[in-house]
Amino acid sequence: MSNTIPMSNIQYLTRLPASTRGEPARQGNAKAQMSKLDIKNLSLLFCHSFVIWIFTFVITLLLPFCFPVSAQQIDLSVNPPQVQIITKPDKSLTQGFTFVNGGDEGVFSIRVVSFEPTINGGRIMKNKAEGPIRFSLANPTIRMNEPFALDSREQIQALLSIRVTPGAPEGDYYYSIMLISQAPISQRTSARGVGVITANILITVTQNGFLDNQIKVAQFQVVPDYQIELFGTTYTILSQSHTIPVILSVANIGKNLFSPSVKLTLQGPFGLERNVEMIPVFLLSNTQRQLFAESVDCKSCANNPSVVLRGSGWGKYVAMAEITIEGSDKKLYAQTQFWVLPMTLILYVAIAIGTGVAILLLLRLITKRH
Amino acid sequence: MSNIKYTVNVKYQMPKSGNLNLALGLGTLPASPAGGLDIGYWIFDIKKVIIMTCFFCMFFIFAHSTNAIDMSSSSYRIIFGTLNSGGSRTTSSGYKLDISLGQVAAAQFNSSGYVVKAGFQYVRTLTPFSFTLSDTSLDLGTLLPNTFSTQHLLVTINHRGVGYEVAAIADTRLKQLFGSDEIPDTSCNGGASTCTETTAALWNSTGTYGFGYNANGDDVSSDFLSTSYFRPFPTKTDGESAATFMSSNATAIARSATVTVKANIQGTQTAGNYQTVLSFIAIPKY
Repeated sequence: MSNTIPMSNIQYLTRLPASTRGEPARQGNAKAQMSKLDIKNLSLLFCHSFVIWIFTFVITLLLPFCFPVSAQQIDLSVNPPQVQIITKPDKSLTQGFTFVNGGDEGVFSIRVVSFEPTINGGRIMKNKAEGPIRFSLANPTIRMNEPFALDSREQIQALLSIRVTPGAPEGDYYYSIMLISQAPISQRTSARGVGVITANILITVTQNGFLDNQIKVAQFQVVPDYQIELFGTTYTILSQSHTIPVILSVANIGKNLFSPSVKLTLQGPFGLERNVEMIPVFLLSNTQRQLFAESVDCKSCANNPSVVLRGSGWGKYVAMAEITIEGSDKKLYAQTQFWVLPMTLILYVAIAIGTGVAILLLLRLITKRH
Repeated sequence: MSNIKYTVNVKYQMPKSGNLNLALGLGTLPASPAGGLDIGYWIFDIKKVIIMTCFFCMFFIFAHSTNAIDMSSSSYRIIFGTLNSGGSRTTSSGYKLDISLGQVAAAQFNSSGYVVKAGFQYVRTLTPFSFTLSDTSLDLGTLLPNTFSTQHLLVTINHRGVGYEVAAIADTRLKQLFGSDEIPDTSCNGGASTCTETTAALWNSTGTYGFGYNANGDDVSSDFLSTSYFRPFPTKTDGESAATFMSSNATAIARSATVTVKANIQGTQTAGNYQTVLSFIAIPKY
């Protein structure tokens, strides 16, 4: 009997009454009872199995809702985001860049490409690293342009070997180091996304350490409400003083990049003097860039001002920019002047005076006739 | 009619004098029998306002005197500072005023042959530049003729530096997985609403076909006027450069934008699955 009952059902057998165990005189009855009990046990077993099966099925159905499956997320960071290097030709150095994969695990690769700066901090990315600088990775486990795996929350420090070839021409060379994720695999009609995070590598090659920095004030003006030309002079007029938008653009016409420090001063009526520091940015060779203050809040400004200043009422204002280059005691000053006048009020007063005078003339005419 | 009274109430009654009127060449008005209109009073008031205005104007004009300067233009003036050595001075009209400065690198350069500076001058501490894409699988499903199919992803940027850009580029056009047919780049609604890789235009007509994207959220390019404005992706196979769709010149803390990719096919499009790889490139500004 015991052979007919699977081992897994032993627990049910142990529940049999004591009278059915080891009593030869009652073996016939016991066998009959045993058969009935077996059927009962098997039914019970089946019921239990069915309940477990249903339970498992329901859990399986509910699991996706309890733990939603998210699509592959890319979350990348790089530190430092920018490196400036001033070097002689025929020099080698190593710079570390720490990349962190904060998203899902994935396969990544590292590349270095050149870029060409454009106006206002823009760039045109090239497909490869151009120029006399050679890049390679000093890491023992990863190679340039070759895939490697990064777990979720894993970071890697890319040890970038930078070699300036002997006889490299003096000048600036701009590159981006990129961590590139691998596109997911799909057989369906889809766009497969790739995340790329980059850091800037700005290299200046100079033989003797002398840098050619030439700065030009490309634009320095207040955004006017009115411009009036009188006797060959253009007067810039604003109609209110609580929002004075100023645009300041500077250009680097030299061969080497630099970062100018710019302080803007506004002088106005009633002894007003306000000073604002502009955010220092790199001006790459032969590029022009608009400078900005830390917080530029002007929802009503049609233009994109560098800074928005607050005046002190009607009158004449003078805005002055003081530009210095790091490591140099030389300064460049630019100055612009403008007027804040209640043009609308002036217009209304002029109309009122004109109307008044017209009425007076009319009255005089009427009086004369009388 | 002779009994008609016309009265003007004035707060400060002035003597009825025709002198001020005469001074302005207006003559005098006869006083009415019952009090009457005093034109002189009103003229005096206007004159007072004019005098006061002139006084304040003169005050403001002479409130700030400017010192001697080296250069000037109608818009601004340039004053040269300590340029006794090393620099040269050039002159031109308008905004073309420039100055040359020489700068010698730090002493460290002479000893080691190079100088390395990491990070941004503006940011005192080195903080990472981070970038998140919410999803990389943009499954467009089964494309039906004259029916838009869209998918979204969220781009998020964190950067303590001086601004950032996010650019996009496709490896190819949406291309048949096992074949050579392509879904073309969208030209949006066409005509006046024709979009390019750098200029978005309205695309809400199911009668125009192609593949493109919209960006909506923080710091997105101003040509994305609404969620109905699209651009085609630049493609590497056409030798095009990545197009910036999100940028800022300021510190970015959790700046995010939703990118919507959209496809629409015509009835004659060859059956099959179409794919491309889209690269989203996060770039810190220098």
